[in-house]
Amino acid sequence: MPFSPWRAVRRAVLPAIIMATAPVTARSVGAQSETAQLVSASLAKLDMGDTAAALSMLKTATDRYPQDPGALYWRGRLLARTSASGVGNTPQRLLAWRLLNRGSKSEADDPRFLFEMGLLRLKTPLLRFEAERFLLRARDIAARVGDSTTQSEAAYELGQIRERRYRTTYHRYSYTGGIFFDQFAALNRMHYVREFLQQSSRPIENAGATERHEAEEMYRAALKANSGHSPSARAMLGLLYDQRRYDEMTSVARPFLRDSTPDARLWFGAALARFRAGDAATATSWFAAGLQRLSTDDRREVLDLGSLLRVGDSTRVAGLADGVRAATVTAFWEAADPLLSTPENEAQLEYYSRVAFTMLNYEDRETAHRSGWRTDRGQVILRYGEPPTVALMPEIITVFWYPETERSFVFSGSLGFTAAVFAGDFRELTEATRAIDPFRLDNLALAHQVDSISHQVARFRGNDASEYEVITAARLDVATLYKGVDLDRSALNWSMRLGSPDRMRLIEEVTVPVTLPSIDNEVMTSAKLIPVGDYRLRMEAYDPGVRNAAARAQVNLALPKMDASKLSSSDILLAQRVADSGRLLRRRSDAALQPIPATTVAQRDTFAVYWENYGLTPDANGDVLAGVKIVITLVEIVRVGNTATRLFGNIVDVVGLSPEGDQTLSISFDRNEPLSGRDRVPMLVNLGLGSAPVGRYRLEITVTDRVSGTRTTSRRDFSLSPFDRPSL
Amino acid sequence: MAMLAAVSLALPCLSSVTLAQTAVEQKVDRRVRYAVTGALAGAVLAGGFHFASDRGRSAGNCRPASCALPFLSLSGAISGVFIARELDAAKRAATPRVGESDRYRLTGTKLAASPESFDIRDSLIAAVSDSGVVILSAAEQPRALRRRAAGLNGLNLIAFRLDEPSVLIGGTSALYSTGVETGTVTRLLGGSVSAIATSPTGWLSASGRMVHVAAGLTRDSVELPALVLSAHFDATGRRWWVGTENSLVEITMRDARAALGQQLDASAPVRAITSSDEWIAVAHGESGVSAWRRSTLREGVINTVRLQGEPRFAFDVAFAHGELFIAAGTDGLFRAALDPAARILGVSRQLPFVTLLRTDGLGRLWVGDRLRSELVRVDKP
Repeated sequence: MPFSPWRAVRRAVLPAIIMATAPVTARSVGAQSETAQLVSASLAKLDMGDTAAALSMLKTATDRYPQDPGALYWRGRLLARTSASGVGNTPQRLLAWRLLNRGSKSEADDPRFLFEMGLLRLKTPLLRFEAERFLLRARDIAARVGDSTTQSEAAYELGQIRERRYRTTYHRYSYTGGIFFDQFAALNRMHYVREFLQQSSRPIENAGATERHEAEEMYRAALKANSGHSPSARAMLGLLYDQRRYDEMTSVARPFLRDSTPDARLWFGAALARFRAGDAATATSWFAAGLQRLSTDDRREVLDLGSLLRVGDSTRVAGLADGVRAATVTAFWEAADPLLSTPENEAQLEYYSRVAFTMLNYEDRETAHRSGWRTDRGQVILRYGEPPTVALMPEIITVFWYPETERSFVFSGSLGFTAAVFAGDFRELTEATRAIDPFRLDNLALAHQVDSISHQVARFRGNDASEYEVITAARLDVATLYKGVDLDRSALNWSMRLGSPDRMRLIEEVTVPVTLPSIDNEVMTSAKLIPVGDYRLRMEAYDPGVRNAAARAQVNLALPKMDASKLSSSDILLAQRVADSGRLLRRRSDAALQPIPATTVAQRDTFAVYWENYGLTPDANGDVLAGVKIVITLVEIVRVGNTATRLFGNIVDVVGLSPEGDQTLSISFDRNEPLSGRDRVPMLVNLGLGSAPVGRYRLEITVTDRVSGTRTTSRRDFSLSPFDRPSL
Repeated sequence: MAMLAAVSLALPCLSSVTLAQTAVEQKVDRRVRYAVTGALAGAVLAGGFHFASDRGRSAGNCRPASCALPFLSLSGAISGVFIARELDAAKRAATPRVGESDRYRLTGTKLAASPESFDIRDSLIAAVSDSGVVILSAAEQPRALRRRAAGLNGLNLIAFRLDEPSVLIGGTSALYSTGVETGTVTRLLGGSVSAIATSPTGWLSASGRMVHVAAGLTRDSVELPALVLSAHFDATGRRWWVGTENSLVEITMRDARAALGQQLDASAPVRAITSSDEWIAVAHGESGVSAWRRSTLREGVINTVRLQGEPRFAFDVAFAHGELFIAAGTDGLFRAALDPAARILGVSRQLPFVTLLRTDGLGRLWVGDRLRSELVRVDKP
């Protein structure tokens, strides 16, 4: 505001004249009443969002009654709070300072003036160091006069000052090799970050511990003065989390949660603590409560998968109708869940925990418009989790280092400043990384423990064309799941879930007793009648008491509509060899098959191949005549032996000297049999590959209807394992 | 020149005084002392510059007296103030809020992961962590002897059985038992275990609200109205205690039947229980510590002794050397007296995150440190 001599005279002289001429009692009562009205009206304007009108009214009040504390406070506060830091706002800050200073002199016991002056100093370049002095005085006066609100606010601001200091020193590294960290080398040279962290720098022990302690003390003082001061509780959760003080985090948040606080950040912070403490059930409930309390935009952003998908997928998902998008999100999390057998979805909880972490670490008042997960660091955290190593280099560069994937992300701006952004070309690198690997759960222990289940799934026509009979055979490798476990007996839970792509439901659950040490494998076979449609099938084996006893398999199951009048074939089912009974097969059950669970057979083994033909046309005698051609092709040789052998073999493959791609076996025959009222013609053949090379093979069966001349083909990939390897 | 030097000293001194309005006199002194020392160091450097520059004749634009002296002395004084502030803050952080500052002789052994629970019997320590169970020697220099219960998930409780050479292990999936020396782990009970304790004749295990008691060959269960969080066998009174979300409950075993006995109102969750010849004490987490004098338990009016406010969070409690020790997490190891009134005697901040406490047969205190993943024997110096 420009300086006006007339205004100065008016301010100084007019009130003095008015004061001097008016009768004392009437003057003070009238002045108080008018100022109070003006202040009250200006606050009403402020509530409506009309800051300019409020300021104008307050200006009138302070012009008429320059010593009125109410008018001075509110105008000074409004000017102070609407001014930005930086040199450009200096006149406004100066005016605010004068008003507040005048008020503090006349109202020495009112800590609010000093508090606002402290906040004003925080925005003033070169004079920020003074803020602490004013805030300390405000806090002490507030404590003396019993103004718990200002006391807690001042303590909170003091805590924030200390926390900023802490965040600028926490994770600090010092150089040991005499060379500086080179962000360009980090971008371009593989292993640079690993080598630099290991050889040229080292973390400074206890860096920032004193500041953290002081910040915590201030937040505790704020909460002691005003137990409902949620910003202090929120800030404290961030400090406590850094030290893994999960129990204390819960105890700080609990009174707020008990009162059903609308502060979503507190719910998220407390849920993060419970999840990290291993209490997933409580975490699930508290995250849900936190989500409900987020603003609509924030909630939508957190719930949608935008940050966790590749850019193209993200755009596609965003463009879906609400219902379809919700189904897609559900399906995503169901697929990401390491084990559906556990009551909670650990993948989703980990994601929410990452959101909570970004809330606690990358948000403050200055960036209140920007949620933590939207920051550059927040986006990296959402996708890849909290970095196992964070290094703050002396030249104010922050490095996130993920050793497991050898990935690093470099930010300029220290941890203490919320505005840290990608350094150099790291934004482009991050986008490139996102295109390859948009979401990882490396820090989720359960995700590492889950093994895969070998399985075979085959689809056959059901009782009619509207349903399928789906055969699943899965091998539970008990010896591997319980390897090294020091236990005499246990119980393995086997479960199968089936459902539409967006929601699976439990269809089978079995508890398999396990006596250890075990070298046996359990084979789980099932046959289910399933209506036509698109499904996902999930099989899981899980023993919650044993660290590595967890395995899963997931299959997308397409069961298209069948045309009973057309020739078609079922999937090919690989099974243990069975003797040909000579009887006419009517259904699969007639063959008494034992499906091979892993679609792996051993060299020199004989195995059965079973499939069903539908829609074969009978001739005049009621017989069907089918030409069958079975071809087995070697797709890929799996080299075994030492490195030299494997290398040589692979070169031979490349130049085309090996049998890769050759047809290992080809059989053709005609089958003539009566239809006898059957709705299908099952066929069973026993095959053996002798000492064919170990590798991956493709079995292709083509059936030609000799009557109608139509043909149909089915394929099945399988593996051939070495002869000495035990096989089912 | 003198004037400039005086100004350069006065400015930081003034700022140190104003900045430290709440500081005690000694802290102000430190700041002044450091400011003066810094200013003098700056002045010495300026003097050096004076001679090095041929008494200022080859000094260029920055003359020793008019430029180097005020600049260096002012910089030195400001640096002194800030160093003093840091030292003050570090001292404040290390100073206990209540009681004396205790220092002990610590003898520790590193574990593979943060200990969740540990127990001591004779010369052996059994500790359970994320990476399984480890048996250690409780000798003068503790060391790991062997690993047990490999590959099991969610183990978080352990207690030596006193009726046989084995350990009882509780986890999120089951209650197990295994020999101290050899043998595989045997599953005793299914379900998540929230508390275990052992006595010379048996053991007690809690799952949710259900308490299972085994004595000799007999076993029985009893249900409590609230979730059980902790358990303890009181060797002096020869009875079981279990802690719930708001009370301490006695469990009796008579004629092979488990039953609820005396109930003490704790008014807060009971995280850990300990007992001495005279007292029974419990840790409540953020609600502090409660204790009951054993002799008053059978009287009509039971007097509860409470320690509240400090420590801010009580993780565990143990009696040693006639005093009550409290594991207070990052606040350290608290030492308290209960008689004639409950009060904190001292605090040791030597360990960064004290969460577990046990006393061995010789009355020595052992501490589990979560941050350093250590088991530490705490001896008076």
